[in-house]
Amino acid sequence: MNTVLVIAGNTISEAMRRKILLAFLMVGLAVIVFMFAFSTFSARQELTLIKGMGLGIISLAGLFISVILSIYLIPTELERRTIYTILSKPVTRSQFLLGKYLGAIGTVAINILAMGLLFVAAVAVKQVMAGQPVDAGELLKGVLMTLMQMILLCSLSVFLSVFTPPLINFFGTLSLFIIGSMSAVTYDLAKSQTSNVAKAFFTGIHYIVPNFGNFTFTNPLLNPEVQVVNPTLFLVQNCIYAVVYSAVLLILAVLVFDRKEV
Amino acid sequence: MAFTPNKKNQLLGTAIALMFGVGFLQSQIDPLRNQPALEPASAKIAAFGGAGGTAALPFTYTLGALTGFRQVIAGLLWVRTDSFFHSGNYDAVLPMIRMITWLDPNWTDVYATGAWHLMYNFTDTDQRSDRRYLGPGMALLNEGIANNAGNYEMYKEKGWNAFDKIKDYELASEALKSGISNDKEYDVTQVGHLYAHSLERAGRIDESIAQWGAVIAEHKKRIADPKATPDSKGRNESSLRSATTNWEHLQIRKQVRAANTQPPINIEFTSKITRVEPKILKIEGTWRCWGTAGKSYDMGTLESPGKGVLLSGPTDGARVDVRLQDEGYKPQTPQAFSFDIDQSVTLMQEQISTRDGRLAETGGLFVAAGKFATSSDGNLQSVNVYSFPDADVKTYGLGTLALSRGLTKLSPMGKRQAVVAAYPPPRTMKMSFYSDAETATKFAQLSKDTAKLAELDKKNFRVSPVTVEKPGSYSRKIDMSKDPKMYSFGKDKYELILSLNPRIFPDNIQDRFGYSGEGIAESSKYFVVDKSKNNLRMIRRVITLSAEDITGKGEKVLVEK
Repeated sequence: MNTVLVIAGNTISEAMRRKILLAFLMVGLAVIVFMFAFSTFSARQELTLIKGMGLGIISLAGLFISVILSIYLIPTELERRTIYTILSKPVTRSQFLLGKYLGAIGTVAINILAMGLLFVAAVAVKQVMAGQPVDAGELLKGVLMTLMQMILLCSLSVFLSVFTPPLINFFGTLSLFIIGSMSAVTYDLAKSQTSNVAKAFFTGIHYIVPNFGNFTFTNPLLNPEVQVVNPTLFLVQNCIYAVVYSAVLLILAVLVFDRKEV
Repeated sequence: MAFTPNKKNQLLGTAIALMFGVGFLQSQIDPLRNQPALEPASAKIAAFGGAGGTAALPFTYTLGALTGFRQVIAGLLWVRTDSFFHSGNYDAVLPMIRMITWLDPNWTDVYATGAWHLMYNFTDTDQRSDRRYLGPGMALLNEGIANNAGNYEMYKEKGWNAFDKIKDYELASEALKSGISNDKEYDVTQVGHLYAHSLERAGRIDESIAQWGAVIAEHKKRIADPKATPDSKGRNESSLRSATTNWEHLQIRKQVRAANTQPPINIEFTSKITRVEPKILKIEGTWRCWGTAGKSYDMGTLESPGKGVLLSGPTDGARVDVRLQDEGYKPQTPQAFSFDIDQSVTLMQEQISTRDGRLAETGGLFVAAGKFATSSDGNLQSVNVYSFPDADVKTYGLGTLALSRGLTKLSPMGKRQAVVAAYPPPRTMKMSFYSDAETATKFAQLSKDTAKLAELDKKNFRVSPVTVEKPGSYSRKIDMSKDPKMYSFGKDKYELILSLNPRIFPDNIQDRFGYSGEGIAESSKYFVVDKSKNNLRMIRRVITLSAEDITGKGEKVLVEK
């Protein structure tokens, strides 16, 4: 386990050196701009806009950080041939892969949490200025869901990276992200089909493709009055979903990577 | 060190087993995820277009909306909508609002703004609302209520629009009552107070009093709540004061109006309709608009109610409702929201103020105001001293007897008026009336005060030899020629409806005519009782006009008297 953690730590340090924290800076600036951009609206509308845009920017930044970080995770090591040095030591391929993966999600988590905390603090300040009750802490649920979504996305990207070049991985990951995010549509399509073949096809997509749409929890955060049935159960189930599906993808990645000629 | 075949099989087996677990989890998540609060079905309509191929998002927005950035897209559209609104591009606003409410059906501000926009901002050249949009506006609010049934905001908006714009107080009461019962966190000031006002306007006085009582109790409860913020406490305390005042006043008024509205007044409503030019009508007429003025109302306290109306007379302020519509037109709220309206319908509504009613009684004072009549000051209004222009002085035979020369001809009321004119009561005095004893003393003083009398003569105070009343008049030229889209006049017959609704009279006039027109004599021409509005006694004159009457050329008197 120590080996895995050492590799993860190195991966995080290396990622940070790539100035990936610039994304955090970008989001920070965006949040500050948003704080003043909507001042022509009423205080409540302004907050709705700030919250919606803020969560959206965190998701978008998280998406690009996750994909760009993950697609290069293994290919870079192969290209630089540093993998030979590592694997010549008492490090198994699975330890290497897991370490790289944990490093990637560690980096993503640091970024998302930093962005999230800055965003929550900004909203809290705005709420205090507007004389409204501070419920910015609730927004952390949205940040958590984004984080879990990105953990799953990293797993997908790492899985693809063990057998595809970065460019194909980039488009493949994004395509699967879009399909998985639109699972509400595929779910409806599966239910509405009369042909059994088509029904099976859309049902298959709905259950097999990672369901990124599950993690959308913005509405109750923007509109606290809405009644959500079992929000805690929903959040917990999604966290478990992300962890279990990531485990599946990592096992498959380990199996493929084990056979890969390096 | 590669995996052994056995290990590989174990790992593969584990992955397959976990994948079944994933499928099971997804089956558990689906029902929760598909609840409207998380994933509204309408978001897909926004992306792919509504029935009949109505507005759909551009592809990039669709992709964004369907990949978890729904609220971001809604927010961007809302910012764009705001800029359209401020640049006056109103037509572009409606489709945007349609898409935003589809994308985020819980964003109540958008429904509220959309409905306000529909119901208030589409106007003709003279700023009269296009009332054909009232139905779509209410339909949008109904959709908002359906999507946010547990949130008082939408009921409040519906209630306010029904109250202020449509003036359907039963509808307003129903919406506000639902807001209170469906959301325990309702805003007492915005919803509870408006509900009480709506009940009063609907003629349900006892229920209104009870509602004010409920409001007072709720304010007290919220003030006493240990979790209440100082800001919330302050607002509740301020609202409690106004609620208590309203509660007391309503009870006092209910008690005294029974007597104050008697005997009923024959309204003597007249109207003259002239086509000035094609699609330009001049609507004018007279009626006896009576009420109290200034401080001539004795409220008293709840423990010791006053007399209410101390003196009434012709007064300004009540409005005549004028509505021109296709013959037989019945306003309707569509079942489903659409901003398309029937462009062939012609519908114009206007309110015309009544003013210039005057009274002079035998032995009473009046002011000969010269060429133009001006309003007398508040104290003089309170004792019914009116200004008459020279033309009216002549027409009504009011004479030229100056106050100094007519002291002996003054009636008891005339003496009171003279005293108030000579020695205006201090502004702080609750009522303008001097007591009988004070009046007698001050009148004796005035009789000897030649300088004061000369001053009053100079101000044209005169003693009336007759009792005359000039009824209040209303007049407005209504130009419908510049807005052919709003006033297409495509039908053959139209109804011009002139009405006086005491429920919307100002308090000082309602004090004389009552909450529901109890002070209007049944012998008044065009008197009707509207049973659909809780036995509202009102004046309603319906005039049928042909398209030629309205659109024909040249000036023509269409209706006289």
